[in-house]
Amino acid sequence: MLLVDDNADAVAVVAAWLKHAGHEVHEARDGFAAAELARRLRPDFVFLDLGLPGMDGLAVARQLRADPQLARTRIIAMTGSGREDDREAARGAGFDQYLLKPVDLEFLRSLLG
Amino acid sequence: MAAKPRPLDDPKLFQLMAESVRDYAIFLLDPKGYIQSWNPGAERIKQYKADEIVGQHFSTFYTPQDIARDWPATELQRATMEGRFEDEGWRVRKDGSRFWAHVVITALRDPKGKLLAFSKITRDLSDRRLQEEELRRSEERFRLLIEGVQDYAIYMLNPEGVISSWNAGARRIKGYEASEIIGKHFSRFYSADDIAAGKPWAELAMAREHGRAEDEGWRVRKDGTRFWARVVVSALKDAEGQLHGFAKVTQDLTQRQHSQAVEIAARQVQDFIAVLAHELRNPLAPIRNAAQLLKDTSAGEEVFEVARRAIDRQSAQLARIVDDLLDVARITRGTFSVHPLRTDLRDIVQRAVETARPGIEAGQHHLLVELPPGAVLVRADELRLSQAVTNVLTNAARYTEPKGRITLALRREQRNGHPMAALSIRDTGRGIEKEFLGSIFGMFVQGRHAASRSQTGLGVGLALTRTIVELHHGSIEASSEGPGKGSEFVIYLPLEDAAQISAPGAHPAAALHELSNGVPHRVLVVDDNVDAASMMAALVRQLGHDVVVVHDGPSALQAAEAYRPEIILLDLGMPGMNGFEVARSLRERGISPTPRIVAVTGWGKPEDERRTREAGFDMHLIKPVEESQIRLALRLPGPRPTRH
Repeated sequence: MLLVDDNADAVAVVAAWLKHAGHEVHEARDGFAAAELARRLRPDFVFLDLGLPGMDGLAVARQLRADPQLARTRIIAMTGSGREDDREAARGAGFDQYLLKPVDLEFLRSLLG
Repeated sequence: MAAKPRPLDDPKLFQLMAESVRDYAIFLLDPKGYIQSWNPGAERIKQYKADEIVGQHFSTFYTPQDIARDWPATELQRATMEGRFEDEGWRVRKDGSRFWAHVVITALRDPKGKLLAFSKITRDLSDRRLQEEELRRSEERFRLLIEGVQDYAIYMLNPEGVISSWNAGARRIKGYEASEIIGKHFSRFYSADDIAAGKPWAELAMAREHGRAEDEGWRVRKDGTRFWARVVVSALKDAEGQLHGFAKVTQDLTQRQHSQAVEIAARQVQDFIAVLAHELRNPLAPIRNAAQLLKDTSAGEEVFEVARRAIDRQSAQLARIVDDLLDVARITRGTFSVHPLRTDLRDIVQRAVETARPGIEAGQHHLLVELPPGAVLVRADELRLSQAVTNVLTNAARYTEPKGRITLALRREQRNGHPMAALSIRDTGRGIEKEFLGSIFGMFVQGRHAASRSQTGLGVGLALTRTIVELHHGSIEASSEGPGKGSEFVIYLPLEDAAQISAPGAHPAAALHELSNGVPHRVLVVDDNVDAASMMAALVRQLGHDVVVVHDGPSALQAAEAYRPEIILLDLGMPGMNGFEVARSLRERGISPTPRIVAVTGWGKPEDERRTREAGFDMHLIKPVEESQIRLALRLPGPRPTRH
């Protein structure tokens, strides 16, 4: 799976958790790197922070969705904003799910099975 | 010679007339008041048939109140004495209903003068009376309505412009009681300039010509303060086009502007809170997650390290956000203060650069720092001023694409004849659109592009920076060629006079005896004339005091809240908000400690001094102000004075 957040600690902590649970985890700190990595790795899950500098999370999601080879990839939005119109925008951009930060790690584990 | 009897002389004709007339009650009373005859008019008006009423006393037609005061008898008496009696009053019909009647009672005498009877002619004025009553009531209602209106000054002028009526709104908006303003000319509501230019009369002329005149402009209250008004003058003409006078409606727009400003401020606070919640979640998330990580003891050393580092760094970020919040609260409440000491600005710059370094390195930017060889002495609060510089540097790093260039240059310059330190921070980043240049120092303004919500930070950094710089008697300016062309921020601070370096932190001995209790006072100089303000400030500084200079009313109010001056030298004649308005606002706000407010003005007549005294000024200095006068103004008695 692919974790994308410009906050290094946010990524590190979740990555440590997921790795410990046995998953293969890759990290990216901005939208461009994320799109690049996703195309190359074709991960099962992409966790995208919406508030990324440069290309933001919505734009990354749209790019990934436009790629037929990533059709199986589940894209999950992570954000500090809980506003309705933000959820709508995320759905519109192709996110499968919308999570509010801080994300409960147990919940994450159950989500991934 | 006997005249030929004319048909109209026939007495029977008169009887016929009386008996036929339907609009008037015409009947006869005997000398005691008993009804002797009746006519169709009487039947129509009073509803009695002839056989019901003839022989009754005519007081039947009167109200109980009139009967109680013996009015019918009085009427007969008067008719007897004067020959006729005419009156208007209430009468009662057969069914008990009342009508307003016009009555003429005439005494009928024989040739010898003996009273034979009374003739009574009664007319029903009900309709007319009702109409008049209705009109009077509606006029009364209208008058009450107008009088009660609080938000608009509504009043009348005669054709010459003399005030003939007043309402509650006029009293509230303009400050005059009805008794002191009715009869005076309305031109007193205008500023001296407007009067000299003939504006009041021009408005009346326009209204006379076109029916109405509208205007927005300054008007003057009773206490001399000004307010921005919207005014409509309507000419009142009768059916023939004759001018009866004018009706004037004045609206105080400052109230509306004030409430609009309050609305905008409230909205900004709401937006700010939303952004704040968002910003707090960012560092919180890793901390929460780290806590969960730590629960699993089987995790291992590396995981532990990741968690620990996350908690450490993110909680530091949280602390910074909270600090920003506290600073915002302090600025808003007016308790934000700086404690300046003589320092080398170069040290402050170094400190700021160190603090901003992580952000600069994160963006992989190239930082160039140019400092002059000699010490750059300023009076500064090291902590706060370096915070201000750090803010600008951090912004430069944040709003520049990775691997950009940031240049910090410190120079000595002359501005308006004063030696200043100019600290310039230039970047090759996003730049600032022209329309935002004026507002980026405002509180809660996010990012340099309004659309950038992806950037962190609460949007208070630059507002904080500006407050800090201005509290240091300096200024900050932003400039940019446009989006994508980078930006430059320059902070100007007054340089300390090299001659005063002799003993660190000491004041020239000569000035010491001027300071009543040996302690420098905080002085605020307010004058829209920059040179005058600078000269005044220089003199006050030379006398050993701490000075902040502003050039308009709103800045004066802001500085009063933030700086808490003990003495304010306030120029009266400023455009926009004048000295009177500033003084009044200051007194209303009840800032503590209560500042001594000194009026500085060219007006020097006794009534001018009375005006300033009434407006809340403590002293009145006449320009050009002599040094001895300023010393007097700056001398505060021994223990700090308290008021009320």
